[in-house]
This record gives sequence, C-alpha cells and structure tokens, in this order.
Amino acid sequence: MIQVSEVVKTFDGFRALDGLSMHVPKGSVYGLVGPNGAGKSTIIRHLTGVYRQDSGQILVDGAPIFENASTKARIGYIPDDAFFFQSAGVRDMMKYYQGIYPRFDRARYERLREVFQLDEKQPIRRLSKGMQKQALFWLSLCIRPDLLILDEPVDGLDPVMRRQVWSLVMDDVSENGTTVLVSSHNLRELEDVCDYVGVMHKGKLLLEHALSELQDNICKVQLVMKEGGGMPEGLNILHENTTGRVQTLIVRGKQEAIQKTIKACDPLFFDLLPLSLEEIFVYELGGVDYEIKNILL
Amino acid sequence: MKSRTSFFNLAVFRKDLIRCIPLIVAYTAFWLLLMPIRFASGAGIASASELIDGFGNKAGSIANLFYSIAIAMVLYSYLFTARSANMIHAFPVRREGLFLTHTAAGLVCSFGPNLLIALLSILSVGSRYSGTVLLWCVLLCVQFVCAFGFASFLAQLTGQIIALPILYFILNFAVVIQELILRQLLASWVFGLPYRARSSLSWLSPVVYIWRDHPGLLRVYYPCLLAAGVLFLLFGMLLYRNRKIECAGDVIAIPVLRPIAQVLFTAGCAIVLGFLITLVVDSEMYVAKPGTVAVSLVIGAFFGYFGSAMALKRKINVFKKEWLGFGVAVLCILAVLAAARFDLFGYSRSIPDPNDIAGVYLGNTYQYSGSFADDAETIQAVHEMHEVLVQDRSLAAERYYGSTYQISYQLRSGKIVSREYRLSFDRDTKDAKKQQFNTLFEKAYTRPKLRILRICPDELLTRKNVTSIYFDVHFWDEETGNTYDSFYASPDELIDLYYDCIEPDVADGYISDDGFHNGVLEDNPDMEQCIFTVQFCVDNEYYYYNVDASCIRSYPACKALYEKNGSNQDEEVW
Repeated sequence: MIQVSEVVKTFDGFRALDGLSMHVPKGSVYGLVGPNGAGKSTIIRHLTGVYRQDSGQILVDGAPIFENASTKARIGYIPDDAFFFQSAGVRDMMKYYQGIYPRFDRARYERLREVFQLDEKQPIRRLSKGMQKQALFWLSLCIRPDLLILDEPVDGLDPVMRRQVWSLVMDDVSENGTTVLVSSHNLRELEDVCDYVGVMHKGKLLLEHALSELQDNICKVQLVMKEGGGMPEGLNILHENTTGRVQTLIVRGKQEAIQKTIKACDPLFFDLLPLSLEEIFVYELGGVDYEIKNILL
Repeated sequence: MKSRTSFFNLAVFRKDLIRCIPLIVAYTAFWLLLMPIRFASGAGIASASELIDGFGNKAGSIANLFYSIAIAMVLYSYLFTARSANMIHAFPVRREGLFLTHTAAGLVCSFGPNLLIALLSILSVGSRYSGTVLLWCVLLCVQFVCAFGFASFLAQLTGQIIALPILYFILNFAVVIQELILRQLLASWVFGLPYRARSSLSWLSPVVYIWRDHPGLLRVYYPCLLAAGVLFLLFGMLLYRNRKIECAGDVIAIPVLRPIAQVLFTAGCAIVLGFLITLVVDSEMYVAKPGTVAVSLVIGAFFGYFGSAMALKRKINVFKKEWLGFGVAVLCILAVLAAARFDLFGYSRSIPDPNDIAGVYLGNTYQYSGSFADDAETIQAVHEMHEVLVQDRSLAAERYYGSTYQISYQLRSGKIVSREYRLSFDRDTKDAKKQQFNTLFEKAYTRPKLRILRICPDELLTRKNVTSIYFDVHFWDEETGNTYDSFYASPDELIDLYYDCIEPDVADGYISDDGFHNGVLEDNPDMEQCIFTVQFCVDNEYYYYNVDASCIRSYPACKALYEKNGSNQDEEVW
C-alpha cells in the first residue's frame, strides 16, 4: 500500500529524513516507533501529501501522493495535534468533511454518534484533548479510508475509549481491508494490534519486520547447567545475565534449533520464554544509541 | 491514479464565506451608512463627481486597503501555523483548488456588498444616478481585485499572520515614502537633486495615486489596477503551488527570498530610521550635515540588519555571526553616499544640450513664481546661468538660509530634466561669482515671454502638457438660486479656446497676473462667472491652473461653447 524509497527531507540543513525506505503491505497494521526527533511525524506528513520530499519516491497504492487529491481522498489522517476551524462543532466539521471527501458515509456518522457521544454543536476547540481526538476518529472513520494514518492516536484517550477506538479501527481492517499506519511510543499497545513494525532513528528505518517473524526469531532462555558444565556452543546470545546458578539468555534464532542445542549440553534445567515487543527491541537494538533503548523502555 | 485537477470546492467556499461574515457585515454597514442611508435621509448626491471621486476613489480606496487585507488574513490564516497548515493540506483538495476557491470567496465578499449598496443607493436617489452608482460599484470592485490580489500574493510569501499586514502596508506605501525620504536625505549629498518633487513612482501605491486625482484614472489606471490584481493572483497561485508547508511560522516562507528580504529591510530601515534620526538631530533636512546623514543611515541599517536577522532566524542572539554582513551593508551605504557626493554618475554636472531643449522653466520660491518659455534666447539665458551654477558648488546656501531655485528643461524628445538648488545670495552681494549668477538669473528671469505667462504659477504650461480643460459656469437660477454647472472636456476645441482667447486676454492685460479678470465686459444675466481650469502635467506632477475667463474674448467664447455643448455634469470626460 505504501512504498517509500530513499526519501530525503532537509529542514534548514538538518536532514530530518535521511534516505528513508519503508514498505507497508496492503491490509496490514504497521507500527512506526522511534524516539523523539526520529522523523516519524515528518514521514507521516509526507505520506499524507503535506510535505514534498527533496528526493526519493513516495507511492501510496502505486501513485505519488503529493497533490494527488484522488489518492488523498482515500486516506484518513489523525494527527497528533488536531486542527478544527474556530467555533466549528463536530456537525460543522462533518459537513466540511462531507464536502471534501467523496466517500464520506453519513449513515456511519449517525451510527457512530452512539459510540462517541459528543455534543455536536459545541465548538470542538473547547473540548478536551481526548474529546478532540474522539471527534477526529469519528470524522476520519466516516470517510471509509483505504489507508488510515494515525500519529500518536490514542494520546489523551481514556482506557475505555482507547479500547473502543482500536476496536473500530480493527473492524475496518478486518471488514474492509483498511491499511493502518500507526506511529506511537507505546510499544505495548502496538504489540496488540500491529502486524508489522518499523523502528526509526535519526531519519532512517533501523529495522522493519513482521511482528510474528520477530517473535519467532528471538527468545529468552532460563538455564541451570550441571556442576562444571559449560555454556552451550553455537547459540547467538544477545544478552546474558546470571542470578545464583540460574542463567538468563536472550538468544536469536528459531526456538526448535535453540532447544536442540541446549538439550545437547544436558542441562539440569532449562525453559524457553517468549519476549515482549519491548524486550525484543531492546535486545535487537542493543548496539544502537542509548536514546532509542530509552524510548523503547 | 493521477489526480484530476479541481479548481473549486464548494465546502471550502462555504466555509470561507462563513468565516468572513463578520467582515462582510462591517463593510456593508460602513457603506450603508455612507451611501444609501445618507442619500435617503435627504443628503442626496451633490454631484456625480462627488460620488465617483469622493465615495468611489477616495473613500473606496481606503476602505478596500483595509478590507482586502482583512479578508485575505481570514482566508489564508491556516497557512501560518503548522497545525492548521498540516491538516488543511492533508485534505484531498489540490492547492490550485484551494487558492481559486479562496479567491472566489474573497471576490464575493467584495462584489456582493458592493452590488447591494449600489442597488440600495439607486433605490434611495432614483434612477438619475444609476449609471454613476454602477460606475462607483465597478471602481470599488476593481480596487478590491488589485488590493486583494496583492494581499493574497503576500500571504504566499509570508509565514506569519502578523508579518502579512505589516508587509502589506509597508509595500503599499514603500515606494512613495522611500522616494520622498530618499530625496530629502540625498539632497545634502547630490547637488541639484529636486528634493521637493513628488514621487514619479506613486502609481505603485494605488491609494496615493488615486488620492492625487491624476488624469486618466478611470480610463488608464483602473484597467491597470485590474490587470495588476489578476497578475498578483496568478503569481500568488504559482507561489502557493510551490510553497513549503513546513515554513509556517517563518517571516518569509520562501527560503530563497530570505537574504533578499534582509537586504531590502536593511535598506528600508536605513532610509526611514536614518531620516527620522537626521530630523531629530538636524531639523532642516535639506541642509543637514552630510556626516549626520551618513551616521543616521548607518544607525538605521544597524537596526534593520540585525532586526531582520532576528525575525528571519527566529532567535535573539544573531550578533556573533552577522557582523560581516552588517559590515558589507555599511560599506554599501558609504559607497552610495560617496558616489552621490563626488557625483560619480555625473548627475550634478549634466545639463542638456541647448539644441535638445524645447522649452525651459525657471522658478524661484523666494522672489517670484516660476515661468515657462520656449524661445531660443530665453533657453540660452537659462542654460548659461545653469552652467555657472553647476561649475561652482560654493553657491549653495549656508545652513538654514537661502531660497530654492528650480530649473526644468523640456527636451525635444519629450523628456523633462529638472534640478533644484538651495542658494543664498542677495542682489547687493559683493561676491563676484554670486554677482555673475545674479546677473544671469535676472537676465533669464526677465525675458518678456516669461513675464507674459507668469500668471500660470510655478509650472510649465505647453499644449503638450495639457491633459484636460474644463470650466465651471456659475449662474443664477430662479429655483435653485446661485448655482453652478461644470463642463468637463479634453477635446482640442477647449485647448484652442485657451490659446485663442484666454492667452491673448492675458497678454492684453484683461486677465491680471493673479488670474482674475479685470472687469466683465458685457451683460451676462444667466452666466455670472466662468472659471476656466486647465489641468496639466509636468514631470509627472499634475497641476490645476484656474483663470476667471469672464472677459473680452474669453467669456463669449466660453459661453458659446457651453451653449453649444450644454451641461455634461453627469458625464465627466476624464
């Protein structure tokens, strides 16, 4: 759905995007993570056709996105800091969206009223940040997007509304095959919803994987070896920690192969545990800057 | 899939109009009070010229100056903050579509109320003035197109909502202000610079130009305003297409223009602040000490250069890295002053060749009014006097003394070359050079032809310079009492009338030096007085010369022409 190739964007000499390439498959939920200043919002503004890249190519569904109204009409965008016209209520904005997005679904708007329960006549700017986000979700879901781009989407939402919003988004994904690109600091939340994850740092994509592939390729091993027994050889150990006689290893590789290697050393005890997304990133990016570990933790 | 270009979006248009409603209401209320309500309350319309000149040109240009920038600020306000700019440009509307929709909304904000006011005005005063009222409406719409086009163009140049009106007002008056101030500043450096002349570039400032009642306003200037407005809109759209949205918040949104803006702002501040500082230090600008002017300019440049650096870089601490640029600016100022002082381009020394001169004007603000002559002997006399003057700069006045001498040559090519000198000497001077100049001045100034035409004060008057002639006829009417009628025209018959009748009356002494007749020679029960007005243009300046033509040759000729053509008060020919 999204193909970004070697994109460079410079602001007054600072390379905010430094040869960024990424690929978001159609119908997937793609999580974009990275520390502050990594370039997440910048690439999102390129993907929504707001900014024009200095070089490189950005294709959305095979077409360049900049000044492409017909492709943009299929994109729902929820920015971190929403903008609404002065004194415009949700209903006013609905009329505006209706006039701008050809696929705006008025019936869905009426249906979603029950979910969001906002005062449609009250100026949106007077609502709380969370309620403004709700209004934006309400409007964006009504345009029946093929691609939903969410920049820190659930910031300010209470846990109940957070769950409801994700539920609505996931319904869209499953029923309509909507592609979702979500930028967030909250890895735990992404872990529940994402199929793919990309990590950005200093304007580049450090890694991009399917979540299942990541989880299958790394695991935590708790191990107690016999007296005088050495560590199993041939393991790609990313991290090692010993508490008493119990050794905790973070090992890269397929679970079956790791299990086989450890069994061959005849340990007193061993167990293989799954890693959370946070742990995977911390250990995968062990060699990268402190900042990124910091943000991921 | 390639996007289809859309030039209009109804939702955006509707939103634009809703957001402009407070401005539309204020604008409509202003004109309602000024025109239909006032007319209906008994004031009526005094004359068609009052409607066109007073309400159309003067009030209209001021109203549109403010209204158009206010509308542009509302329509383009989203460009100036990152949040709104990002959101609006993520919507599926192309920039051409946004720009043209805003333009359509802006035009409706002006045309709609103008038409409404015109309609109500016609209803309140009757159909007699319908043509004039509609002309008023057209004038206001044209003024708006130009001002709004300019404001829209500037909205694409700037990235800050505050910078937009500031830039708009500065540029609207910059040319006139800068030129007038610059002349004053340079007068003490450039010998002979006509420092009191009106700016020849005032056409770049529509409000100033319209208020000065230039001829050809309707036929030439307004079409130009319309064309300029359309061009500004086109350039504005081109800029918008290429605008970097991430520049929201920057004073200048087009990065390549930032150094140019800094140079222009530095130059502007150097001139304006330099002028003000010189005024404070040295109250009489024309004879200000050159050193005072130079220091004032540098101080002005200091504030301009570092102020613009702070605004453009959005930080206070710019002094460390910008000293080199400021040094270059100071060197440029000193180079310009040195070039002016040492007459690098030969301006002060240049006098037209006598063979190229068709006519000459000589004026002295202290002793006499100025006069024009086109005979070879007078031209030679003035030329000779001028040569003496430019060879010796020491004739220039001491500070605070002297009077101004003006010399203007009308060349055969049609070009006007003007010089102005502040000189101080009297008739009893003992100084040999001053005596020589004095003699030459008297010789030139007392040429017979110059004397005859001296009733036309201060200015050149030739058939070529005459732009229009009209006369006001004052008469007694049984119903309305003492009233008058105007006869506007620019045809040759009126120019002929001037040369055939009025000029001979002047020469024969029937019309005195002050322009008043020396006695009505015949009975004129229905024509009490006939004021003949000649409007003419010299060196881009426009003057009126009034003469009471109710005498010997002039009055019968005027009366005959009036009776032949009748009143055309409502059909001004400009």
